[in-house]
Amino acid sequence: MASRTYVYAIADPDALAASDPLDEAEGIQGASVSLVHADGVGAVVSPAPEDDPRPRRRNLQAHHGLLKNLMQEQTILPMAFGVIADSTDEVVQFLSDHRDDLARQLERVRGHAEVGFRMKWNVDDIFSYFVDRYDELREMRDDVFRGSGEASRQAKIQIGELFQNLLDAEREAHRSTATSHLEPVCRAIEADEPKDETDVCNLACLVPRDDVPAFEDAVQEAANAFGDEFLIRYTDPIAPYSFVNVDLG
Amino acid sequence: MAEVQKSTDASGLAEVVDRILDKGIVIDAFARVSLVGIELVSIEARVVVASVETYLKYAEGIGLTATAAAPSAS
Repeated sequence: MASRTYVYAIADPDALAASDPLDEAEGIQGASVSLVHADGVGAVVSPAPEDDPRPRRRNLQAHHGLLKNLMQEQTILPMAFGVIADSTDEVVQFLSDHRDDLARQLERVRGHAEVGFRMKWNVDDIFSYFVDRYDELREMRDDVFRGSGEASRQAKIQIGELFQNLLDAEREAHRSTATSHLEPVCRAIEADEPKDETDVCNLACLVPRDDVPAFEDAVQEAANAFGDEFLIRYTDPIAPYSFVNVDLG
Repeated sequence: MAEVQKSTDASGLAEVVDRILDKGIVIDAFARVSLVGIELVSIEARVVVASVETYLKYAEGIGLTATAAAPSAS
């Protein structure tokens, strides 16, 4: 039967069948969740809602919450939000076609969770903070913005670029300090791009599930290495979104 | 010492929404729902790419520190 099928995760079918966590599970918009499998790899799916689910909080929470529950006990490869196949047959075909790659990826993250680690500058004004720290920047500021006339576009670009360079150099140094504390308790660390000028670093850490307390200790150690002007935020263990690397046509 | 916060389930979704949307497996052969109309604030400012626009924005921020530092003319 061809009915559109929402895909949540790739999973190990034997382990899932053994613990049956899908019985009570709810997917997007309360859909009942089931397992399809082929050649020893499985996918957690549900009927897709009639209308494409929009990326609203409730839907994102349903997707993320289901994965979070599953990954307490299981090894899964999380799908991005909103992947819908035309039918369960199509999903089974996909599993069969990519069996080896999927099994390899599952093996890689087995027993691990992802923890997000983000560090920010916790200062009133990031520009004042840098101007106070760097004579070079302060002197250029005094040159460019002296007097009542409007600064030239070229001069503004120049000072903006200097700020960017100083920002990048600090980010690099701080990220390196932070990762030096985290690396001993991580299987892998991926650095995402900072989102705004107050972001120092945004790391995804692949941590053995049993070592999450040790990871939390390492976060405290990292915090001790930085001054009051920094804020560190880390997440609960989540499914390893950042550590699936499946190139699937 | 840096302040440390652990995101709870209530605040946690905003913290991980970029991962739910941008990471994870996407299968080209399958459909992907439109991500237009994302209502969560945290992903608005996606990746800031170094560009002239960014430099000008930074320059403005730095210019304001000069105004703040300048003694008021009286």
